[in-house]
Amino acid sequence: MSAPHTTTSSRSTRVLGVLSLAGLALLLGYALWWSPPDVVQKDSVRIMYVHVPTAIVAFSACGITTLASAMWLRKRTEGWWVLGAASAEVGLLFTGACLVTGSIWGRPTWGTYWTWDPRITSTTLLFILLIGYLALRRVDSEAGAAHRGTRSAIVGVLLFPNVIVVHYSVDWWRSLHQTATITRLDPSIEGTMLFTLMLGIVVFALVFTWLLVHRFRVGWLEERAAGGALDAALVQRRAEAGLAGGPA
Amino acid sequence: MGALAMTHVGYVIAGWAIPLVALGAYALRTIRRGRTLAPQVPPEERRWS
Repeated sequence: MSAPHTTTSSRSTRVLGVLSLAGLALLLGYALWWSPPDVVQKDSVRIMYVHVPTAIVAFSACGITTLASAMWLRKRTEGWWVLGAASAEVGLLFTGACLVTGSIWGRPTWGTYWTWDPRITSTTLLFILLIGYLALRRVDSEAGAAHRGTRSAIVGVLLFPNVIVVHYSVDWWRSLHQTATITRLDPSIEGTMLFTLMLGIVVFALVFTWLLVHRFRVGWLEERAAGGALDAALVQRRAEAGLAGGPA
Repeated sequence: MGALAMTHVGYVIAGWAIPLVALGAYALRTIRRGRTLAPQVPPEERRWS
């Protein structure tokens, strides 16, 4: 069987992959060399160009999982089931990246790697919720697969409301974390710094989309392979029972 | 602005290297899982093929 037919790649993912890599190269150029250092934070501000985009992508991934979970609860179709897991797994990676880059950035700017700030705490809760959602999908339920699916989908539905809490946490509670920078009508950064940040959001969104498509296809294959393995086991069992000359 | 004149070099390198390495490793793992699973599934069920 030829290679293109035994992978999760297609023409669209290859184009997306090339665009993602080219975008990452361009982003690294802007983030590490061509954008100016900040007056106060100096060059540590360059971590912002990976931290903010990974946060936005992570929150978008949670939104997709919430949508997929709600749709699965309503329609019970395999596509939504697989999409929920794919988005949660990739989202977990981006949430982890957001927390790690934030921690690294916090040391030179706040003087500490970690503090129980409302934004950081609510993002950590989101990270734990994502792990819980993925774990619940794997834990067997005595009430059957549908019950297991319902249980995990309910956790999936809770993800996006937590994203809203993360977003507004800096306004609702006293926070060390800065308030909104780019989502307000008059962004507090401009010029090359704003362009680099926007480029980062676009590039990491491309990377996320590429990963999501591949992860979705892997999930689709896993469901099919699991069904195929079960069929093969049943055929083998029936053949063995036939050779033994009696019922199993 | 060159890298030699940069402040907080270690933090900047770590801040970029850790997520990029993690993303790269996850991408490789996902592609490999796909390559392992795809031959076990009939082509008509792989809609993207």
